[in-house]
Amino acid sequence: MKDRLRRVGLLSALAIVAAVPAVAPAAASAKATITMSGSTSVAPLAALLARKYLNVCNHCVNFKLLQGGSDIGVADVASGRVTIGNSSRDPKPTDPGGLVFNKIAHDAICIVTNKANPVPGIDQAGIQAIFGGSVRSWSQVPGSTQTGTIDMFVRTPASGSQDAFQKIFMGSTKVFSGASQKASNGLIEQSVSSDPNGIGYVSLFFTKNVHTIPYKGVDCNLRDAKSGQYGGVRNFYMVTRGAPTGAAKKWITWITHNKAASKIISTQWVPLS
Amino acid sequence: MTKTRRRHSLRRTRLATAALGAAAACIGVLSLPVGATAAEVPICGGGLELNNEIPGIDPPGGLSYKIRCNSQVQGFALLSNREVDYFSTEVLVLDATTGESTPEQLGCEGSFPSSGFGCRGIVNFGNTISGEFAIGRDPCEESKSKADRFKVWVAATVTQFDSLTGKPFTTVTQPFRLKRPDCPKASTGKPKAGKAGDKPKTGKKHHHKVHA
Repeated sequence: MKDRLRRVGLLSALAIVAAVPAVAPAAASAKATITMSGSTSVAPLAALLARKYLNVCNHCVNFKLLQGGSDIGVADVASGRVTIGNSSRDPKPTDPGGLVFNKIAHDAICIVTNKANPVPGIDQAGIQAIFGGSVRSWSQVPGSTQTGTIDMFVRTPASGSQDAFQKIFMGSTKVFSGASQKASNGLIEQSVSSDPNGIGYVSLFFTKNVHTIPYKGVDCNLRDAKSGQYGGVRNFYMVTRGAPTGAAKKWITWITHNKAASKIISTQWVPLS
Repeated sequence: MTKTRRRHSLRRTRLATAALGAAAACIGVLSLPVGATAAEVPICGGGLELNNEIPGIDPPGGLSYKIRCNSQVQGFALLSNREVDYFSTEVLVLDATTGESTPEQLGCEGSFPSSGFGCRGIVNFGNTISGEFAIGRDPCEESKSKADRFKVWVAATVTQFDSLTGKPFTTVTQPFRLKRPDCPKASTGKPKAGKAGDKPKTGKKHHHKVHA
């Protein structure tokens, strides 16, 4: 009897052990993974939102966050490599068809100089003159404390910030070909913060170590971006192939409609409403 | 009886010899040059600080990290025994001598939640990498055992130079444990004096700090 009981017990234990691996993959696959790539400007916001979302939805999804620039994000989502392409630029006619640009927030683009060169203000003509290459010396820039050659830092063509900068500030004026191209906001911030003759443009999130130049008499700060006073504001998007569905839909809806998400966006960016 | 004991003793000796042999073989294999040998062993180190001021991150859980290697860094992975649910996507690099920010920078990618994340970019010899991340728990909370204490490691991809030809090659360091954050005195999570080990003494269980 004892032996029989022991055998039954052993068989039950074996059955449980055998069943666990069969159940585990099913449970693991039940949790969706949202993969994102693209904009280096959207990435810091996406990281913060993902953390909050995991807390409020009780770890209902997994996130994978990659970067590369807006064009990479758009290309990745179009080809199905990621669930969401993060973009800090508006849709372009050259973008692949079938994409939906889901607006999630607004962001201020700031014109920045080294803290040793606190230029007191600039207008659109001034930006076009400097970034277009017709003004090459700081001695030609009113209010500059520097006199040397202007070291210009711009983003690579794959960047949404580059696209938005061109659209908002440069219009039809082309960016000077001699400008040093950087792959991320952080690299621009670092380059300008370590070069007294440097000038560049970055997302407001990346302005801790640099001087932000008031544009058309308005400071580049969160308050003036939120009030609509600051003119250099662009959109942030989460791009999906077709209308978002499933976990991606829930995530994007949470970002655009939830107060907790809005609170996080408000720390450094401008919520939609 | 005596014969059996002798047999057991012999078996134990053989097992021990085999284990030692296997260990020696492993060490030998690990230390074998894979195409190149470097004159200097790459060492990384650094520490953590509590950071309750990361915008958008409700404390506790926020941490700042500083990492330094004795070689040029091409990237690194930060790993923890706690669930990492946030990391700064771009990381500052501070100059080894002046402490000021450099034009170097790293971009970070990874999963949430996970055991860590990876960053890539070029950081010159001795410069300090400075970033932020968050875990889902209080880094200073009391742990059930020593083994369960909050720990963070860094492993870096670094550039080394072949000691014979002088040609550069890429290698990956071993994981180095970062110094734990200083916790408020009331908390039992405070690291013991001497455990934080600031000096790089290879071969011992401790944290490493690189002297450039």
